[in-house]
Amino acid sequence: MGEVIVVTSGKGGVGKTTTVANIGAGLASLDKKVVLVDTDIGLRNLDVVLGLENRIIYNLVDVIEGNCRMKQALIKDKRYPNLFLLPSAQTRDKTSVTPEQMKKLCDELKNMFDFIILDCPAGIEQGFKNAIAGATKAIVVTTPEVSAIRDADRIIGLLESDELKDIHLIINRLRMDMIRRGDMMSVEDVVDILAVPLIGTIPDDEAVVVATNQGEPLSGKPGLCGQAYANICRRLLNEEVPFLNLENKKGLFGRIFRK
Amino acid sequence: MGIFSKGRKNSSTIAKDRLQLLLISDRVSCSPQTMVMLKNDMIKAAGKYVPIDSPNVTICFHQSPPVLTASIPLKSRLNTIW
Repeated sequence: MGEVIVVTSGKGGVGKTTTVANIGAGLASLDKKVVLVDTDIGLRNLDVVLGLENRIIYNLVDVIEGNCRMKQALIKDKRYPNLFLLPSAQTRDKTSVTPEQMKKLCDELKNMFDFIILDCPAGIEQGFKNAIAGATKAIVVTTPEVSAIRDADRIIGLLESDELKDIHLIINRLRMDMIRRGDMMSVEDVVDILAVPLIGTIPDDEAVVVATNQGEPLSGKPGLCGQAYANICRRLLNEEVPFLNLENKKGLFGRIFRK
Repeated sequence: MGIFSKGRKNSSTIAKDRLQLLLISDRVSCSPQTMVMLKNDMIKAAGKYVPIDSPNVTICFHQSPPVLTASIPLKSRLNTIW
């Protein structure tokens, strides 16, 4: 039986979709059979981040409405043979799916995959309620900013009141130079405020933008970000992995001229 | 961290302080004003019986299990003129 994990944040633009793409790729490269489900109906974007936008024929709403079989809607990734995408519908809206239908969909996917990762839309309305309906574990993504943390706190409260208690935190876009100057909240500060176990810390890195431009996940690739995502995947497989030191390893010149 | 920034609170501390205050009221869904009123009432109530170091009273709310804790420091004997 597969595990259903929802990736959520409350606030938009903190990196949910990027996280889903990279965790998916990372788990697939660890020989797990993974499906990524874009539950943001009407605002499809996981497909472009993965570079699979040209291969969509059927979508999530088609499966739910019975217009096609599950296997017809699943798109196999170009690079990872174990990774699949169930894209969202672009021309429908969030009311075309109910939480019960999503739960049924997740139950069907559980028999086919080791991990079902749901990319949740921003906000706390219908789309959010649909996305969390079938999940048994939640990953809350936040950035070290007041607005994102406030929304994350609200989301954690909503998840807990929905009996989803297995909650883990990813802090995205950390800038060690700013933290050192005291101009950005540190990992400890954020964990202290939100009081949820940490599963990953991701540095703010240009490589993420480049990877998204190209439609290539960077999990497991050389570089701090790739390694950070790979570590999250190993933690999801219950491995004890120490947290990375996110200090940018600059060359000799960088180190001399930094101060 | 230069000489000029001495005494100035850095922005991450400001952010953390603001958030902590904000989340207390978010979590119990009551406004920051209500929290201030609660705090003042606590100071008043406890002050009737023991001398309170009122500027240093803090109240905080823990999420799970939901608990409201108040730290009410007492005036130390040395600072009080009897």
